[in-house]
Amino acid sequence: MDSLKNKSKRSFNIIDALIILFAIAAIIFSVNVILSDMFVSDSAKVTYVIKIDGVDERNAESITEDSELYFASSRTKMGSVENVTYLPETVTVFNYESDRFVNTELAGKCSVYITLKAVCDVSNNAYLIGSHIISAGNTADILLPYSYDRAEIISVSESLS
Amino acid sequence: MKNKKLNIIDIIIITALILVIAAAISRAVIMNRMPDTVKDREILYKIELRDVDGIYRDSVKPGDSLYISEKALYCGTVHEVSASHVKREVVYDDGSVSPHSDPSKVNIVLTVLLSADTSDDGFYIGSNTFLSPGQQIAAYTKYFNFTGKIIDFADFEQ
Repeated sequence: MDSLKNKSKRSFNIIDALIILFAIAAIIFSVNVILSDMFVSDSAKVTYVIKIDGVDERNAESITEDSELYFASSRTKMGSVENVTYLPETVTVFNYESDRFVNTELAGKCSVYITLKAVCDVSNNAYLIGSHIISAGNTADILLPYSYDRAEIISVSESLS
Repeated sequence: MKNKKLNIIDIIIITALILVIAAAISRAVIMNRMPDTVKDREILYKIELRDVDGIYRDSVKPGDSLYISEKALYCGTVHEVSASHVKREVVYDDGSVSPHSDPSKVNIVLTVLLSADTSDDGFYIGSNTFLSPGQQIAAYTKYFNFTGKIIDFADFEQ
């Protein structure tokens, strides 16, 4: 009976205190990591331009300002199309007659420049739509009215309004 | 009152604690005793981006903050940007070779200002990321991301 009482009244020792401290530190660390990952603290209105090369002329007109574009992999909306510009696709070749590199047009092919507006999450000083980083130099597989294609993000800016 | 004896769990916990504390102290000591390391020196280092599409020529501007992609770690503020057309060698029918400017591609050099711990060979970003000339670096600004090569670093002289 006495031994049972002794067991139940056993006081905290230094090891118990260390274990509790460790547990509290681990919980604080975990909560901090989870909160910083789960809840993005900021959002911003972003205007960005994507470029799609090698588009057939007959398909180019199907991308209009009313179109909605989505990332192919996640089906996330990329933003609203503000502007679409078509330019003949060019390649750079060396012209021996003029003795210099020149840009020459590819027959029947367009480069399409699409300006999109979107509200992006801001995390680690980068703009995000879902898990997609909106940054010039990145590429994205996107769904288009006629097919899916690979687009290059060529410029990004924060909208003031 | 009977003294409680340490059991195996207690010993493992104490050993783990001692190891963690020893590792933290040794790392701090090694960092501080590193030969030829000067703390908090303002430096300028250069990153070269080769063969970049000309549309990205103006994607980085002085004043942009730069971050290492892998760790989202601040690695300086862009101080200066210079760009030049890529030179390509053209072979002529007679076998001669001559370099010509490619109008569609540019080489960009970013000069970046940073306060860092430095040594003769390179410099530290944070406490454990060491960068030195010749090293590839994947980095980003808020608007542009790239991979480049560190080509030089020197003290910042105002």
